[in-house]
Amino acid sequence: MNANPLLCTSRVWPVLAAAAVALCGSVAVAEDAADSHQEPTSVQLELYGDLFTEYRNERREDGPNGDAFELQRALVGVEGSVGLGVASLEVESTRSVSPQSSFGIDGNALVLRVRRAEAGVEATGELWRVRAVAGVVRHGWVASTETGYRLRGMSEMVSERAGFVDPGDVGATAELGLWSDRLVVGAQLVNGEGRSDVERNDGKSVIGYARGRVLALDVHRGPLWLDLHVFGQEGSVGGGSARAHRLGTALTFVGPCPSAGLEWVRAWGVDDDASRVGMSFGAWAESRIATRWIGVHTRYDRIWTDVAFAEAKTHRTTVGLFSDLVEVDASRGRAGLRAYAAYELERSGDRAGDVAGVQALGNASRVRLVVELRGRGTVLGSGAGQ
Amino acid sequence: MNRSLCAVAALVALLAGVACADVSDEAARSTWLASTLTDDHLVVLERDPNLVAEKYAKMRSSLYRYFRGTAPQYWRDLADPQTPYVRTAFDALARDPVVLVGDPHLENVGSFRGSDGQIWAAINDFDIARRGPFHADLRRLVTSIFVAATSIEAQFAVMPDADRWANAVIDGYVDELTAIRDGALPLLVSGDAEQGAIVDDLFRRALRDGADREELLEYTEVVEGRRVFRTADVEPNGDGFANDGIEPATPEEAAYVRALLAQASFVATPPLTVTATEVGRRWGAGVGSYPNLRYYAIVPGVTLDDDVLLEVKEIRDIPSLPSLDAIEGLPFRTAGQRVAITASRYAARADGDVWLGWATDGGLSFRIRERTKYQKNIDVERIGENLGGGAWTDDDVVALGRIAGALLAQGHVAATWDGESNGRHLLALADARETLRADTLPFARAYADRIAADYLLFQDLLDTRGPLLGARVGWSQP
Repeated sequence: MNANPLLCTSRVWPVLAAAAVALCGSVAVAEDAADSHQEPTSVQLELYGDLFTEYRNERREDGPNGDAFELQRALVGVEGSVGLGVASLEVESTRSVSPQSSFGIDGNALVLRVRRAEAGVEATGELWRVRAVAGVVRHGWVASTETGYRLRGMSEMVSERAGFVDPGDVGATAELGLWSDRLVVGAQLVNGEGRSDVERNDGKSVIGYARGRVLALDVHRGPLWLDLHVFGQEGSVGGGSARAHRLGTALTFVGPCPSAGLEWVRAWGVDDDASRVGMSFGAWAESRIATRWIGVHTRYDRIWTDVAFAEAKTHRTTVGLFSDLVEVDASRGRAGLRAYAAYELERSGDRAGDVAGVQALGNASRVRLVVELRGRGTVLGSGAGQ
Repeated sequence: MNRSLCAVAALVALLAGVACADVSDEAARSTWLASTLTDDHLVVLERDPNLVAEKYAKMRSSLYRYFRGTAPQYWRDLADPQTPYVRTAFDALARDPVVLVGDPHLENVGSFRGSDGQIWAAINDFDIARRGPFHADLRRLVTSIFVAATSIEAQFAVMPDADRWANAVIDGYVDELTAIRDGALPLLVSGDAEQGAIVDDLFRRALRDGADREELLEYTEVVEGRRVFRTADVEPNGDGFANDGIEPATPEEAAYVRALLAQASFVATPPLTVTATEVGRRWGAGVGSYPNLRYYAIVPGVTLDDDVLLEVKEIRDIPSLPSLDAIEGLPFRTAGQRVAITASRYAARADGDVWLGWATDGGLSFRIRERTKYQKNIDVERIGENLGGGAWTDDDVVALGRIAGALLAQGHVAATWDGESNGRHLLALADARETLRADTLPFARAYADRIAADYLLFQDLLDTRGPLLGARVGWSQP
């Protein structure tokens, strides 16, 4: 019942069919594009990087207190294209390798790992774009929702934090964008174990995702848009092939001054346990106050580690200020140097902590000071002869 | 814009159909067992899958051995909302973590001998020691009583009074806290006084074999004036796992272990300098750590009779509990250091093992200790045999239970990693005996039932998925 050997259930067919259509489409379009474009091959190379680092002072309810400097993320990536060929490589540092790692000890090593390494083809027409890549690919849901998420320096999306989705996996992605990416539809076929683990069963995870721009306006201070995101995943994980099915939707709003969003994900199969059903909900907003030097942000996350129990949920509320110390272009929160100061309150139900029955092990309050540095630049962009 | 909305809505409808029939609890538990056991052995599966198959075979050979092999599953279960659930009445005390054994159970009680010849009992396995709430340890220890009772009942046709045994652990725990609160020194469970038939038997065997240097006689021989390891039969037996034995290490392994020992750190000061001559690979020992690398090294003494046997055993990481570890982390550079330091903090006397230490090589971490036959462990099967034969009674198991509870309590109160914090707040439990009983026993009974049910699932998994539970081996290294 839990096993998901590839193609063994009828439910995967709709998503697989979508993937096949997109893949075939991308190849066909790529061939057309190759035939029709006789112009010299273009070459482009972009370099980008993120650095999130923070100081955190944490107090537990009647429990251990402490403070620490942490490097949340140090990431460098490169994206390149040669004609229709595209490739990207992204490397990140991570503090927490997992138990049973063959290198470093759990939580006590700073190691580099590949977050994304994909290659394939991409072709673009007047109203469309198709892309097909394989390798370590970004999870379609994370890639889609982060296009409208401006608080990544503070926290990943709640579904990722809950462990319901991994930001990357080994597999293939086929994506179709229409009307200048106002509608993006994609399908993925991946191992299901996530980017840092080896495949442990014969099943594959099939993911379908879409992003549609339901509102796009130009107001006097710049463009604003509202995107609707959806995704579904039928998958399996672990040596036991426990189900790992997911369904999610999100709304992201980005304007010239404020941005905001909502995210909801339901997870059938949690922590290798096929019988558990989890859920996550997140809401966030941020806005500058008149000037780039000062802004406010807030965020609320709720994670149900098992929806069968009322006490199996955690809440996290964050409020704070930010300042865009260095701004690159108008890409607010996407490039530049931003500093956050925040107060965070976390509460867990009786069954949601690391040790069920000890409620307060999950209850904490934190003061966080976060520095977020993000940048992107073209290091090589030319056509032949340039 | 409308076209986008329609397309997205259509996809939502499609994806909604992708979800999601209910999964039966037992089927889910079965896949969870296969997944988590595989996760726990990923490195060893790549290195030597046969050893994992042998470990599983050993776990299959008895309920108690299965229990011993699933401590990481216990810690996962503690974080699982579905675990047979008894909320602790001691939330405030549990919030303040203490240094835990991580896997306390009856067979982790063993004997040590000091330099003056005194012998005593103590907890002796800290492979998954961590900081955490006290009741996680206590519940694990009491669960081991119920599992042992079930195992003995099935194997030896006796009717153990499991509730009485379990209550003895609680009484021993609380009595020790009470004594410490009232100013007494921690209880030393020594061979100087009678401790009940089971612990007395442990001491008797230890003194007999230890004095005979049985460890040297059993594992080594003298050839041309030099002590070397005998070659033992370490092939898997009819049950699929190896009998306890040592065979000479390969030259590469021997060089590796000598290098480890040369750079090892030791709890004792001043630091010891170790020069090993011969190295052997020990097979078949333990349950949880069965597939881990385990070497014995001979450190020559002044005479051949003074030679010392050191064990160099691979220690792996403990299950991650993010909210517990996030603030304090583990104040150790390696897993071997964590285990050695914790063992020294729990030791009733400092001279029980002067060779306690650790060594590291890249991602591999090792704990070092001396091996003598003065070190013996409680053996649940032996308890069953003697109960079945009428030599021992429930009273003797009760005495053992009280001792195990007392040893855990004194470790919880006194053991410290940072030299400052300890578990003195637990002394408040001295006035809460009945509440602690009500807090512990229902969980332990229910979890022991869970273990028994898991044991059947585990056997079924081995039958249906094969000796590695269906783990894919060799895929990551073509």
